[in-house]
Amino acid sequence: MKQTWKKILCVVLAVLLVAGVVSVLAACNNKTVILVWGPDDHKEIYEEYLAKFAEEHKSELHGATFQYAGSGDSGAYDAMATDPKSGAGVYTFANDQMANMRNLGALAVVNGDNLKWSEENCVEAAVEATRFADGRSYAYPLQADNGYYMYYNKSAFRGTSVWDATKDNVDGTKGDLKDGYTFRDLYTALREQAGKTVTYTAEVKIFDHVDDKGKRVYKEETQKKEVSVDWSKGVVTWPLGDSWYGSGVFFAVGGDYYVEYDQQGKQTGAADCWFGYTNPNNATSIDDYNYQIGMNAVQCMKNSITDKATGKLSANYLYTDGSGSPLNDYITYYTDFNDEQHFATPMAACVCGTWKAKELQLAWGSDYAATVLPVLENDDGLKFTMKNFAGYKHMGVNPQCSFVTDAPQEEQADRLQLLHTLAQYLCGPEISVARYDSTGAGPANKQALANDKIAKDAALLALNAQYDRVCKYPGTAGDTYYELSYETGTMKLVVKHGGDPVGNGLGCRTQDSVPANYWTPIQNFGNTLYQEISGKSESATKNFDTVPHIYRYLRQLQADIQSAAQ
Amino acid sequence: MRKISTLEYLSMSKARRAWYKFCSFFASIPAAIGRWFRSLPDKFGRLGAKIGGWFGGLWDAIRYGNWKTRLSALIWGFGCFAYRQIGRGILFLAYEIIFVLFMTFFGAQYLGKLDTLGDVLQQRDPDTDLVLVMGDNSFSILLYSMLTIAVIVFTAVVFVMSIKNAYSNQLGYSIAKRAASAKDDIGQMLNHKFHLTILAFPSLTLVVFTIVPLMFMILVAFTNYNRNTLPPANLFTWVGFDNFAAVLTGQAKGLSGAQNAGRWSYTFWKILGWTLEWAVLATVTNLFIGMIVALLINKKTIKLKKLWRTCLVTVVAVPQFISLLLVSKMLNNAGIFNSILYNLGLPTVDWLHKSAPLAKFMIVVVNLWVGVPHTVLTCTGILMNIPDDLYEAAKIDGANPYKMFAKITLPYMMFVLGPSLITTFVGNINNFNIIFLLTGGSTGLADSRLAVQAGDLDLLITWLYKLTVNGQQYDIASVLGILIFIVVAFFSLIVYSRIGSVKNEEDFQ
Repeated sequence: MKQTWKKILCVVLAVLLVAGVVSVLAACNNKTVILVWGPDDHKEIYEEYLAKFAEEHKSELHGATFQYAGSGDSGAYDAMATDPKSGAGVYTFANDQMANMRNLGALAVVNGDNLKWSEENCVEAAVEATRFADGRSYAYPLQADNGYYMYYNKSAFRGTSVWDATKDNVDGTKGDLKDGYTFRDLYTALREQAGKTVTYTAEVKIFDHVDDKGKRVYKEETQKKEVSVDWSKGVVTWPLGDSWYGSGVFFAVGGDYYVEYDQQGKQTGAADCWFGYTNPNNATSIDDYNYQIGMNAVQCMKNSITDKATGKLSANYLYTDGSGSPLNDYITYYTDFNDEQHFATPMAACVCGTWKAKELQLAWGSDYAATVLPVLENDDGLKFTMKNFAGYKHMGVNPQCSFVTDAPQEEQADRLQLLHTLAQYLCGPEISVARYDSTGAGPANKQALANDKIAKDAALLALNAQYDRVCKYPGTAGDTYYELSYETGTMKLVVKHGGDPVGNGLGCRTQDSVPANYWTPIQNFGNTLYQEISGKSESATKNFDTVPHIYRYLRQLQADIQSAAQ
Repeated sequence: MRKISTLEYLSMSKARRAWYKFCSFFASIPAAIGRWFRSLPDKFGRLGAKIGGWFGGLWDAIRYGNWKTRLSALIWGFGCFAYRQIGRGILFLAYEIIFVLFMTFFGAQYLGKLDTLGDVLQQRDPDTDLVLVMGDNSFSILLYSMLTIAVIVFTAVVFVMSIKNAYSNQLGYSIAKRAASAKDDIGQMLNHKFHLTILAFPSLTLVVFTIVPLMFMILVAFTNYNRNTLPPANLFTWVGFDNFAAVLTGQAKGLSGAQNAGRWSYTFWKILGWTLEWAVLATVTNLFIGMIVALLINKKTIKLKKLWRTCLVTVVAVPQFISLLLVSKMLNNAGIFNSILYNLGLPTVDWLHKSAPLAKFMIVVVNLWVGVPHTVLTCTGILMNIPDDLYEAAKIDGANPYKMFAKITLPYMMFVLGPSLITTFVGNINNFNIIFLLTGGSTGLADSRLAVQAGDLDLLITWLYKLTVNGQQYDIASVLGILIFIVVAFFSLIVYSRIGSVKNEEDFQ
């Protein structure tokens, strides 16, 4: 190699080395940035309000700037876990991540005037959900809209045996499904519509227009469309094969699980949840494991998807699950007017959450309605209130972020308070309404909830109709559903849900950190049960009622759980 | 196993000979492992002698060196200044100063806490959660300690260089009356020692970005670094071999209650079983079916050979993850296969979620789709290279086609494919793509005895991925990484040392 080339090569390597070192040093001396994490689809809204906030609090920011970054529901935790110091100062997270976030030290306690702000401005159930097992609040309530309830098309059930013309609907009109209706009542009602063609007005999205000059242009618009359907062929969907929804039965019949935390808030133990697993009688035999709870779950699930007369899978039930035939996709198939093939089996009702509200509203037009979940029934006619998970989104403040910890000691308290103020601002009425307008996110802010549009939102009203009736959180006085016991040096949060027969109101339970193996057995259970009833499993020819395959299955799962616990 | 004489061997029937060979292969494995371990002291001894020899020069320098040489052990570069070797002297002295500063202000504080990985817990104001005392950060302590150790090792080398340099100056000066000048040094760096100049930068990056993190990750296996002990709000510490015990035997006391040890070992053995089962199945099916297809295409009577090869090359040309995602959609409940079944009035099948055996079968089948073309292409190359005269000679001797395949084609192919089979096998043990993209590692029917994040179709590598990315269970993940390495190394070394292409290297040349 020529000497010149060697020299050049050496110089290039030296420059690379120096450039590397310089860039690292430059990165270290960056101007302070306060990161704010939230959902991707709210980016523009947050950036607008962050700019306003920065303008109002210029002097308190000490030259720091805001930077918004999108993160998914679990994304915030994964990113925070790598290094809380370089993580967001203020961020949104789902309430089931609270114990984890707290363990990272990435949540500042909300008390004093800050807590007062929460209590005065936000709905009570959401504020309760910001409390950890130690009774202290660790975040600001942002959204209270994550749960499921029943959507239905009024024209499918109006005038049938399940219809109560005198009952007040949540949307303010008269007429709703009867109190204490069951899934079977819905199937019966649909069959009563046989031979009739019902017409209702839907709103259809039109994307393609022809302008004055005859040129095709893109423009999104909704148009009214008359839809005629035979509701006796209508379908009701409830994702039996999805554990989040299947839990509705699990909690209804008294399934329990418990989670243990130590005083730092670390999860130290969790029982695998299965029907009756908490073992109140210190049972030693598998048969003592509250077998009746399991049987009730089997029977309630079975009775929710079969016809009473035949005991066979109802033609009006549409099976959906978490992965193979996902609920959200199926709803879109059945409500999308471009997919004409589904007119033969129109969607009459579905169990789902707020994220499908806008779509269903368009599809069902003026006959769109939502109401509380149905009741479940076992073989002996005993009824159970179907429950759901109450999921909330919170706004947390990270006391370890560099904006606070890199500041001189005397400034730190003020800086942390500024982040609290920012979190309150981002949970405020104005931005909450903006978020609702953009994606239909249901606010936890009382003032925002009083907004004309939001106050009339049937989906949120149906959801709240469920929340308001029992949703209690650990530690609150008079709470019969949760037990908070202090053992030696540790805290044990026992999440209990007695199987409350109908009459005690509807129920939901807050989805906090569920044990790792919570979801799979429930999903399994729903899936297998459906396969069995629909005759799609290997034992297709066997009759469910005479060959207790499901019972054996349940026993196997119980045995699995027991051996895992040993 | 009893060793038999050649005569005894030859008097056996063919089947018994094959059986004898098969048994003796496996019987020889423990002895081979034993030999390897017995050779370890010798290997280490030789390595130690090499390193020791280099440091040995240090002893000579101290013993026979004059006061200038000896003083340069304290003041580095003194031996250079004394002999007017200013350039080198400045470099040695500057390095010493930088090292002392580095240790005082950075290295010592981390290294000093390496034994406990920190004992000062973060303290916060109970009313505001403001951080009062930042506390120790176990992660930083472990990482920067590794860095510091790397620096110390390098410094030891520089230290020896400095003294040996002083000593050689002393010796050289007494003969030549001058030591190498800075200009000489630069000349050396650009000529005789140009390889060192050019390798300095890559070596530095190798140490900082590969060796230090690797050491860090290996050491994590001996700590309890997981989602319950994430720094800086928490401390993690050494737990010895607890994690290994938990994963291998299910007996460990030091683990947190959230995950009991029995569950880790149950999951590990189950997943290891499936991983090996999968690797064998995938490798064998690919090899044989690929070989058969290659033989078919290479048959003289087959028409349109180029077309068939092009078809296979097309499969290779499409990125594997695209093929896999596409196939996973095709196998979906509402995918093309089920649509066809449905339209034919047949019951649909949930290919990947119905049962574990069915899903495993489907994975192997899909793997054929993405893997066979590679084998076919390799085999085609080999087949075209087998000299025709071998077959002609065999034909003249009256060999039938089966005999020719068994005695000429197969040994020839196995000889060439042997080493590549190892890479395929190892590649299959770590075949992340096919398992993860096709099934996500689970049928959804996973049994509840499995540990967090694990599914019934997971390979060790996909489980490791889930443990780190979604589970923050770094301690167990690190153990898995080490165990995967051991498994892979074990199979590679054993098989590699025993295949024909290594043992009988000259045979086909």
